[in-house]
Amino acid sequence: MKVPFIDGAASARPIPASAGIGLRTPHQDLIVRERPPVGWLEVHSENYFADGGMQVERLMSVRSTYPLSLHGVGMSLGSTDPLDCNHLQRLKRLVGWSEPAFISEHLSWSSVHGTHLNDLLPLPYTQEALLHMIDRVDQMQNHLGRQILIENPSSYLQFVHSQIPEWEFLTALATESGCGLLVDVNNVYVSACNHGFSANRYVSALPAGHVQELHLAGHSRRRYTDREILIDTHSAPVCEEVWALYEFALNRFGPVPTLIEWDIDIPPLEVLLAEADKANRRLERAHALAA
Amino acid sequence: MPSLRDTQTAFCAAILSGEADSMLQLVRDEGITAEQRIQIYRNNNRMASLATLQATYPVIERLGGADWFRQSATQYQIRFPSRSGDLQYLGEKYPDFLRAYLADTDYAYFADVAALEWAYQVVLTAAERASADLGMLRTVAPQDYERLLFVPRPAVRMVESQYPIFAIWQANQPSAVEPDFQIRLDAGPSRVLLMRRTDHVELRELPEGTYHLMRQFQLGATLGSAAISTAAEIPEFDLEVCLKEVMTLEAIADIELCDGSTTNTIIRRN
Repeated sequence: MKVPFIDGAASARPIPASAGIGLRTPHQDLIVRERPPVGWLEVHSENYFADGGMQVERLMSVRSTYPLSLHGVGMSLGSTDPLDCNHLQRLKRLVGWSEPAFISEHLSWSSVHGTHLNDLLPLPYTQEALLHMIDRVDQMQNHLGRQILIENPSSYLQFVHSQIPEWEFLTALATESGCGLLVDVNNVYVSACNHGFSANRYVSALPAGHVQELHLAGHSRRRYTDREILIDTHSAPVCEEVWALYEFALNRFGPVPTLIEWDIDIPPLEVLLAEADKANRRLERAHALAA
Repeated sequence: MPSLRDTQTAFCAAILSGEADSMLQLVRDEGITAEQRIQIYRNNNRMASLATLQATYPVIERLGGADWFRQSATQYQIRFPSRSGDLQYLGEKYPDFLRAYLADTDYAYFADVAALEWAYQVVLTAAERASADLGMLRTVAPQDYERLLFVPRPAVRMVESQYPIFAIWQANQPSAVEPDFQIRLDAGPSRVLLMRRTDHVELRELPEGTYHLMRQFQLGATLGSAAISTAAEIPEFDLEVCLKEVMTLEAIADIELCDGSTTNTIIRRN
């Protein structure tokens, strides 16, 4: 059922169609102190579920300067276990005081029979899984009282019983649940290379009106005897092929808020800001085209 | 066609216990084998768990070495699989795991050091409450003293061990200029109070009487029953000395007057 509250972030500072960066521990003090010029910040929701402490205080501090996006990695939306009400409640508390413009989660699952694998695991793209995800997104949006964005995963395997291409699955999910889409351009590229589909075709098939945020990140390559597999590590600069796909995505979706993700081997803040500048230059061209 | 539930059950078994038979039938080969594809997820799962435990237990990793720590993390995950989507809780049972894993070995003390490191994490993220203005105790009538409840701040934890865990912890901090490797495990017990300050977590060792009194407060005892309990445990206990020390810790958030089953907060600062 489509939710009636598409614009539930009325009290939040809107996120501009420019580049943002993730607020990660090594940079927190510097960002709190110097407030570098960057369009917006994204944080991993679970890192701020705490009742108090320095991490929470830093987020409270920077939210006066930067629009925020909350990006969850632990909701396990696609799991066949019941939705974790405690997790959802803590997210709602965080949403209440941090007032994010976006709240996002993943097209994935992480837990079954009460055991959590703490990873973003792929779903079989079946009619059963689609109906299940629509119901889960519906539950989450109803609990939070506002729209969420769902991000496409990177994946290293496909199920023999998958029947629906991922881009059609996401399109149906967004249409039926009313959720927005967070398109991780690097994930599209990684999965396209790993499974042999066209990344451009994927991007072209997504419903532009639902796409509200883009992600960019680096990946690594692992060599096997017969072929190479790309691993979504968030540990490197964005590669040229992903920048090219990003430009293609901007042509398709128009200028959309774009996050530079870097979670492992995190470099100095200047490196992240330089990556954000690269995205901003492309966004400016997209703005000019859209004008 | 397998159900979504069956697919997830097979996936979980393939990652955690290596029982991949059911899962192998569900995965397309596509150039590399299904087993190799599943192995990527196994690696991701183990690396994420290891990184989380490394961040939570840096002293244990330093004490045991990187290889031992990696092995212990693998065994921990088998015996205590994660029960939360929030990685903050992943290491919660690691001290319990080490207690059994290293029982009757020369490294049994690792469990108590790990308990100290877990308490550090809890204090780091506990709710903020300022310490009470103890000067207002002057307004309490002397006959009410024994009914006073001293409620510790949420960001306060206490850890006791028969081993010198405070010295071990100190010697294995990155800031330790010259690690003291001469710590004797039979140097005597250690009683540590952990408390969050504005921008750091403070650890300090407490004398036995003060620790016991504070512990009783944490368990919800009134001043009267805490004093009786502590005196019974520690013959040389001096209530005045220990209470003064508790007052200087800035570890108390509320002071309440217990009247049977009800309590009235008399001193609180939010």
